[in-house]
Amino acid sequence: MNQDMKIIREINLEAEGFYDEAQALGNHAYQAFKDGHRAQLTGLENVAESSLKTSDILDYIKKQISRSDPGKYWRTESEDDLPEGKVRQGFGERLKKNLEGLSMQVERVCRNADIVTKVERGRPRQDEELQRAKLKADRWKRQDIHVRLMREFIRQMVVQYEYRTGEGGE
Amino acid sequence: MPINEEQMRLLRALSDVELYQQAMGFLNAEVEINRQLERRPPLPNTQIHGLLNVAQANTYSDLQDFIKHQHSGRTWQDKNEHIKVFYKDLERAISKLPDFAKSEGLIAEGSSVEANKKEREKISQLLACEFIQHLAAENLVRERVRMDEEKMKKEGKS
Repeated sequence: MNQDMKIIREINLEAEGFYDEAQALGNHAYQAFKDGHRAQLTGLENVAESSLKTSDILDYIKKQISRSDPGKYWRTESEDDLPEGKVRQGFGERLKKNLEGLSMQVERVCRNADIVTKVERGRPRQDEELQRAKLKADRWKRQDIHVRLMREFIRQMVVQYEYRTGEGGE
Repeated sequence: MPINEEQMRLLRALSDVELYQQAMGFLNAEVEINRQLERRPPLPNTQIHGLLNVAQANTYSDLQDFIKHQHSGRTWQDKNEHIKVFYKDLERAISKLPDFAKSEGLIAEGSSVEANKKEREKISQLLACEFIQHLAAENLVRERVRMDEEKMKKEGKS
């Protein structure tokens, strides 16, 4: 299997792993936008699909947060019960944290697709230097994987939002 | 001076990893304002939008001139001292970008001196633009929160 195919397979596997959290965010999105503000999520989907940088998506979310009044839209806090120790956050902040937190999944995909994520210590100097060079050269691959994972997360979240609007929020 | 696809790819990767973190670090820094140490207050929205426009529409040198003018070419009231400090620190952060670009291999040496200079200027402008975009997005959130808190305080008093 070539590397591209491995990456696709690994991203799909990771997407299964964050399904529950994406669903929870979809419910939170429904509480934030109900069924009258679908355009907010369309805008997010468009940015995610067209963006080549993770920071473009994060910056977009920040801009939307800054345009919302306290407790409304992107700053709506979830009505759901929170697990102990978790702080209640607005929808945008929670989504941003989740997308930033995908770095663990990025590491796993890279490892399983033979993309260098760190320089291993204690190896012969020549190997270390080779690894360092590869690490630098593969930066854009790690970035691309992170963007693709973000897109998956957002897709799953929006599907759950659609589902909730379709059933009238029940 | 056109930037090739390889350079753009590297620039995007650096924007996500390095410049994003640098922008967050910039806004989280403790700064001295009117002899008091505090976390850097955000710029007012008019200022941050103006800065973003200049960064997106001008050359690296023009951007540097603008930032310099904002802290040295005009007088700020005491209550706006943080704006002056912001621009002073921003000038320092932006001035490091050409060396950063070189150390990351973004500037290909070997062309004529003139061509090298042009490439350095173009890439520094692109990096500055990315840095300021990240700065602006985070600043908008912080400024909004600050304004909401101020409003709540005022309403509580009246």
